[in-house]
Amino acid sequence: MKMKNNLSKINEFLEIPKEVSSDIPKITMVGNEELLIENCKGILEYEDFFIKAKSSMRKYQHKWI
Amino acid sequence: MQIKQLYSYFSGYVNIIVEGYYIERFINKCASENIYLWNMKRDGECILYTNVSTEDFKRLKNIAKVTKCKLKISRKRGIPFKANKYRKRKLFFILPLIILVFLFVISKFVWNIEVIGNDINKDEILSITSNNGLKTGILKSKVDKDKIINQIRLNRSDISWCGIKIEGTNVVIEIEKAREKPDIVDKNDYCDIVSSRDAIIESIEVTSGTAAVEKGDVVKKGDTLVYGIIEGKYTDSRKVHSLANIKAKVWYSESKKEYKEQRIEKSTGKEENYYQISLNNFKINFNKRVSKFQNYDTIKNSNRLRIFNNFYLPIEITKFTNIEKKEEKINYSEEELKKKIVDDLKNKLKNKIKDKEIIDENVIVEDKNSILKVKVIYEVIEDIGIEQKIN
Repeated sequence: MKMKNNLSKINEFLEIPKEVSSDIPKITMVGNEELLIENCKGILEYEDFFIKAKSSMRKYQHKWI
Repeated sequence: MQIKQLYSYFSGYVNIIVEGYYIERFINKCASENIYLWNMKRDGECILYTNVSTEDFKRLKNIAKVTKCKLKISRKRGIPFKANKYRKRKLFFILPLIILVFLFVISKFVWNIEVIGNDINKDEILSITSNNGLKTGILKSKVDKDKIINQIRLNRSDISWCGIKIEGTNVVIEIEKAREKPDIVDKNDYCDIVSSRDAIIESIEVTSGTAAVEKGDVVKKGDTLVYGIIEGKYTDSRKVHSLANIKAKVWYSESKKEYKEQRIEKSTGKEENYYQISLNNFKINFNKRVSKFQNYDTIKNSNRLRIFNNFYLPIEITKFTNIEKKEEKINYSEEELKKKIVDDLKNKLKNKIKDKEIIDENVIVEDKNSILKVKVIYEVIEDIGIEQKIN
């Protein structure tokens, strides 16, 4: 745990993007056309208007309107 | 990713239908095996429409087996499949090839000859070239430029420079006409001064030579004005280069007859087009009907087909335009007609006279029933001397 903290401090110092240095998901959305999920661990549900993905933190759900 | 889609368009891709209860697992497996799926669409609980490239499709079969899904190809897309479709239509591929070969062969010939140069009778030049083997429809490699240039130079004495360029299928003959050498008398030669036109002498100042005329004399064209001879008191007469400043009255006149009642042809604005295609000498008319107009002008406008700038093809499209005309009668009053003619004549004369000094102008009008005859005379002061060599 201590080791990990040190590593994250170095990463912060070097300004390495968080989605690269850790396994936190990054979600980019472009209007209602495109959705990009980085560091995703798999799709749980996939439908026309609905997506459920697994990540290191918690389940991600997205609904298109 | 767009690039990947484009690539798979060239290498072929398939629209597939995945049927099964574990579609999410199927997608996750594909993602972990680096199989690119695009245009995914879910239909209900257990159907997924998606696209996959043909190479990846083979690997997909394994995944489908593991996830207990059924795979079905709904449509094959991309160039390989399209080409396959046209496999039996051989003409489809042969035709572009034939066209390419045809264009290649055609580009080896001369299809158009252009003559550039002012004041030159193009038909004469073309007849010379055609006698020496430069005609439309001849192989470009057979055109002997040097020989043709030499022949043109031999046949025509009035050409100072001639060049031949072959640009595509177009042969450009550039010709520079030689100027005739002017008849200038050298300053050391002996000369007389002669009149250039009929005139009345206004003033004559002789700086060298002997004056033959006086002020007020009437001279005709070609009369000697100053002799190039000086008679000395102590010596015999000797020849000189005569110099003199001679001013004389000269008349410029212009006359014109016109009817008071005139017929003028006016276009009515109606037009009619028809086209003709000609392949060398073979002509195809697209409209053989007689024109529906009674009075009309025909304008012929022909264009040689060409690709790019210089690649002329042996096909010519000619457009004929018939413009309908209508005759109209115009009755001029005497005054109107007179003014019209006088203006016209004055313009003509001014062009001739340019900027010489005008002393007097005269307008003579003759009225003969229906005809009006107008004569405009300008009296101008002009230098009329021309040097003429003494033999």
